[in-house]
Amino acid sequence: MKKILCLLIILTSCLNQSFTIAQGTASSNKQLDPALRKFVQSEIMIKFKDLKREAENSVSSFKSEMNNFKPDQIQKVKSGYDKTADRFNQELENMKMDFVNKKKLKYILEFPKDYSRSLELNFRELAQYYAENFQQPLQDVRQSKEDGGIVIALFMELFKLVPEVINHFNEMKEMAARYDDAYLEKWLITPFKFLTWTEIQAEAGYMNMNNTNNLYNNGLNNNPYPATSDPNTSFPPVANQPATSGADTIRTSTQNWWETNSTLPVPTNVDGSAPLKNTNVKSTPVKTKAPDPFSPTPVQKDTTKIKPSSIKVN
Amino acid sequence: MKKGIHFTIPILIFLLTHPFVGFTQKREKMDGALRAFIETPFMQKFKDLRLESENLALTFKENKQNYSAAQINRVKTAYQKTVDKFNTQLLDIKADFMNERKLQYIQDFPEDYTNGLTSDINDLTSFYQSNLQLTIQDVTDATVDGNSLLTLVAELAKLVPGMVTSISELRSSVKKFEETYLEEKLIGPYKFKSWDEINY
Repeated sequence: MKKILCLLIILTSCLNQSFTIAQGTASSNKQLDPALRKFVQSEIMIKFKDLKREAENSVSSFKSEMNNFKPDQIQKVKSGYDKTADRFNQELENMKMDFVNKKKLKYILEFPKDYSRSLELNFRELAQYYAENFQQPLQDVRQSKEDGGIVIALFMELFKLVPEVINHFNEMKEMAARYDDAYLEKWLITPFKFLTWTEIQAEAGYMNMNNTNNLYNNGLNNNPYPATSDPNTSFPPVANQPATSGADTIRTSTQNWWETNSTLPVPTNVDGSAPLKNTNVKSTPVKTKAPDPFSPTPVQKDTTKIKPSSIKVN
Repeated sequence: MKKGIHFTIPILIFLLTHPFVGFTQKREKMDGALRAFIETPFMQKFKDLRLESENLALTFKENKQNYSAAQINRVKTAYQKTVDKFNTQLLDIKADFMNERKLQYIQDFPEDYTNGLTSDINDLTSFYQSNLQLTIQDVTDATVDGNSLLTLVAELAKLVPGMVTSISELRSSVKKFEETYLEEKLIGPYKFKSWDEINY
């Protein structure tokens, strides 16, 4: 009898576990609902993504000229970037938590001004943090006089757009109860998350092969496109892609939707010619491709149990 | 008959005094809760700010014979616009105290309220700088710089977390405040005076 009971308990726990896993997978495989789609495509999120690109772009450029700097200088920029990226990612996580917290969501809709003012302050603090911890050390090390005008302009626009977030929360309130961690991780976090220093590759066109500071690249940025004038030279495939290959890496031939911004560095070889990456380089297969919230709305019916009348799409 | 009157009188007295007893108790609770709030460094600083701004206006008024009517009017307008903003902030706090749901929200998510209020105070700082301070410096050729007021506003933003903690705490004794009470105890003593009210 005891044995049967034990077996039953084990069986139940196994079933529970597999059900939870299945549920997690199912939720993350759900289609992007129209309200969340509208949010991730909103001006504010586009600006957020532009900021992410600008920061990653700066790191990418810096990595390609690292041989000009001392290890302590590189370390200064690296730690500054990683700290800044962490802050931005934390803000994104906080936003995700607000989506899944029913009580919070209710308050946000009841007192929208408080939430938007709070968010605005967070963004202002992020701007200051970015300037002090990443932009300034980068300028100091490079002895550059760039004023970071693009980033400042992006932040200014971001501040102005904060109140519109409330409208999106309002549109999402019906669906929010059905959002779970895995779902938001897939649609809200992954596409907007700042990459870590080690995940960002050096700007290939400007990579100096005499670079002795690969210590800070963790082997991720060995140039797959060495400068050469011999068109017959073939290059090995990039074998050192970051582990999170589904995330936003600046230089991959299989670019995702968020990598198609014109602000990305135009890849050029040392002689100024276009790189050969599209013809000669095969990127590592992507394990989990991040979703594309900008793709057209699927025609098939939404599998979630929301009545069509309850979803307002403007 | 006599027996009936004998019972009725105490009952009548009780009924007449009972609401007063309730009112007194409620008032005592509100007094205790609001006192703790008013004693926070934030509110003390807010009062300092009020006194300093009035002092600034008074100093200017004392020397108004040195300025043209247009210059005086510029300073007056800038002062009035700035203190209106501060008074609006005070009225917002009053409105929050009268809203049971809002007090509950502050207790549940103090960080959000803190950030929102800090953001408002930062805006007040910028507003003061670009309006009153700039105007008074311009008109007086920087004889009056208005820096002491600026320091006070900047310090006020840092004191917001303590003030929010105090609101969270007072909610455990009082669910919401009455308007007339707040008007008397909060708005009256802390409201910035208008330009015309500032005199010796």
